[in-house]
Amino acid sequence: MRAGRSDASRVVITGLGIVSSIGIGIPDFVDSLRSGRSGAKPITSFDTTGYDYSIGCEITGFEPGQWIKNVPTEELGRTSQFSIAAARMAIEDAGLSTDDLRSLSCQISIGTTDGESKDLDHLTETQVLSGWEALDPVICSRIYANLLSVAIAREFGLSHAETTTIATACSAGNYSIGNGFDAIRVGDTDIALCGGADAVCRKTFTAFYRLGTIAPDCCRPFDRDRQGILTGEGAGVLVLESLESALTRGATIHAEVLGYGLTCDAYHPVAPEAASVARCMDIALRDANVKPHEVDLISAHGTGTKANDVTEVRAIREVFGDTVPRTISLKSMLGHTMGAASALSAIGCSLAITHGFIPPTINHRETDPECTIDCVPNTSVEADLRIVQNNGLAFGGNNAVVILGRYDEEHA
Amino acid sequence: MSILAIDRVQRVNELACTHLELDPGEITDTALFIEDYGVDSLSIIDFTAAIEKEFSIAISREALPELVNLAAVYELLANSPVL
Amino acid sequence: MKTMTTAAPVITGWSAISPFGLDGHAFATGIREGRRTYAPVDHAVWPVPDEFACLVPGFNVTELLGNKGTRTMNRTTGLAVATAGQVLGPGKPTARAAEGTAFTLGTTTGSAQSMMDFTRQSLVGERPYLVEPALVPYGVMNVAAARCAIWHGLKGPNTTIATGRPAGISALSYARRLLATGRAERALAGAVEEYSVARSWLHHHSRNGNGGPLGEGAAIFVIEPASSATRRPLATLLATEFRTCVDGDFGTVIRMAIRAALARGGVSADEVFLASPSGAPGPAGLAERAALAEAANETAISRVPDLVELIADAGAASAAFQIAAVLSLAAVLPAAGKPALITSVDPDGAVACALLRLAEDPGPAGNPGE
Repeated sequence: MRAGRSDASRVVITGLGIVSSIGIGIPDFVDSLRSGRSGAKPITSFDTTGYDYSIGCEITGFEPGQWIKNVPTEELGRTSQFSIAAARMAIEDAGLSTDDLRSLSCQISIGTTDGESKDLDHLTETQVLSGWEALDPVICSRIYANLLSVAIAREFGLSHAETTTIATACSAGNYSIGNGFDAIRVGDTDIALCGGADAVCRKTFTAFYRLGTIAPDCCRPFDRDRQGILTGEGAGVLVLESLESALTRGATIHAEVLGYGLTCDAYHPVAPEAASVARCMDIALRDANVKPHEVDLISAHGTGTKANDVTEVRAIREVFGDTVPRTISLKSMLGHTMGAASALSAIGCSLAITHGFIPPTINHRETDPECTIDCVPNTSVEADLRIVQNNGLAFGGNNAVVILGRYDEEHA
Repeated sequence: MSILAIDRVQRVNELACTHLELDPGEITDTALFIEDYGVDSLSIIDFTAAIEKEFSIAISREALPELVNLAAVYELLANSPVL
Repeated sequence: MKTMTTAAPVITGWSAISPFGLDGHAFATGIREGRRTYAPVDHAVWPVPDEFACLVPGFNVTELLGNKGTRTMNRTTGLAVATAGQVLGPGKPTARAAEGTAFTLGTTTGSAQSMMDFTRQSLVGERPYLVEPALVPYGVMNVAAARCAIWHGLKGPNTTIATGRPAGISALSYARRLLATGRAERALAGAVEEYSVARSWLHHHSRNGNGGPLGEGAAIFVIEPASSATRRPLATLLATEFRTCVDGDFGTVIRMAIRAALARGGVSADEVFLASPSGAPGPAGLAERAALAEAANETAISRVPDLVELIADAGAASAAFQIAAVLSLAAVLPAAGKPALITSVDPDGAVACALLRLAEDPGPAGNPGE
């Protein structure tokens, strides 16, 4: 299956960093995925007076000082802090020292929906109460989106680094992984630090609320009674390098990135379009040289809105026909972490492969007949996974699908 | 069933033209927003938000999908208590 | 996996909406004349701390694009959609062309104005959720690229890259990679930045009042594989290089980026015929200018007008404008077959460099990209 690709042109994942509402770092995250933990709780990071309901998946107890050693934390918004923390974990997990990294070329690409919109919301509050003159210069200096990626370069002193914050909303994590994959394969970079990050903010909660897509209690993907999303936050960072590089330095390989696909619906500013989503999956599978029936698991975009789940399952059925694999949504546990979502779910896929289990779609009571799928409801199951597909669909029809595969040393 | 007053009908039409980006001559009471005019769902939410604001009513999530044309909007308004 | 190629792609078209005017012809003319576009800011319209700004003259979204779909379209999106339309020309693409055309747009942070307007509605409204639904899409950074896709029927890879001032080079490099990996048959790549009250105040405070005057606009390029180009090439994209300044010493990383680009393109410092530094405000920009003079040559820099002098700080559009400026000049100078170097820095740390080889037959003067 991997015939025709040299070690130099195969790309593997050698490090994972996780900041999430169900665990910070690999052991906590795996444990939560196995036990189907929920990150849902009342939102406290902005004043929720006046909303009829305001449950979200915020991260409590994140200590910036634990992860950020070199960049002064007041120069970083919450999202950039998450980015650095996840990057630090991923780099350590990959067994790379700072000196190692500085001697290599790096592609640092953090995907995001909102950048530092939490800070922007605060600035707006100031402007409303006290006028434009009163904006805090410290906050104004840290709201530019590329800082999410530059902050990582600064923290680790990486000057031979391209920083590219990819702002394709809720699929940005997958875009970033794909970008890293391509950059390594065409020889633009040695190492790719890729992923996604976002922080809960009033702006995004209100946007989804206005569209009637915020759930009052919990996120129930594929369920007949699903009401929408819970907004969440966090960061996921993956270290990507060529197989040759990983083998040469004796790195532990989590999984292989087999390929990816990108399409644009060119249809509607927020609603998804099934044909374009199906085409994206097709392109990803062909890029990975994988047939639909070889896919063991799909990690869906699975937001839990009426529109998304129906459209996504329709697209899956179109591509997979009679061989639709089990299809889960990690958003049932994490909420919708926006730009971090497809990065965290790619990490979830990678861990599922190496640990041999399928995380469940929690909060499931009754599958909606309009989007029938085996979503592995409520309880994780042991499973031998070789190929996993990770879907990312975004506002504006920015679709990105990534295919991951188990790396088997014996069969390399 | 109550009938909507003529000035309110006019106002609804004006808001429809603005928010659904239709010409006054184009719009009829029975033609369907999505199927006949190609209006996208976000514009419909925007239009209904303007109706809520203009007439001080709240439109429930369940009632939204029923607002398929102007006639449906008139009926909703005629039967809605003012907040 | 499709066949990969590392052959350098070609730029075969471009357009720009800028303080010089509403299309690429106006831009090219403005560059060749070296015309300054600074004008006093009308504070009744723009309650900002700036005294001067370089605005797109007479820019009005509905006038440029018509009434349908533009009622709530923000300035950033209008600039991008209109510029993309000029590059593409009239008529919808075939199904094959639609799927095979990628669109990559650079930005700083989308429209801060739209985002803050949205949040403001939430803060001051009777209920915090009584915001205008039609504004929801404009609160995210990828709306301009998405709207361009909807408007022009582009279904290939659609990407928004938020790298600030170097974003035009980032976008071209990303598009180059899409072509190299066979993910698209051609790409539109460029960048956009709007002038707004929010941007002006954020800039003012973040640079402690030393940011300098602001400009705005969009520039978008068509980039294709050399082997399958459907239009006459204007330039070959020989190399793009990126670095990050992590210690305040911009000069060193810029020199490294330039040298790497020259090496990759097989070009010597003396050969560079046109060179454009970004003119970023403060020490970063000064270090950049000195590094470019040292790693390329001063004469090359002197042939290109200082863009900040003409159109101020165009934010994410600045590197894209620099490239458009070089192409505008190539058509009226003895530049055929010669290299051009464009550098850009963002005060947050991103550094970028693009090396072009101008085409042997850049085309008639006054007709950018056609």
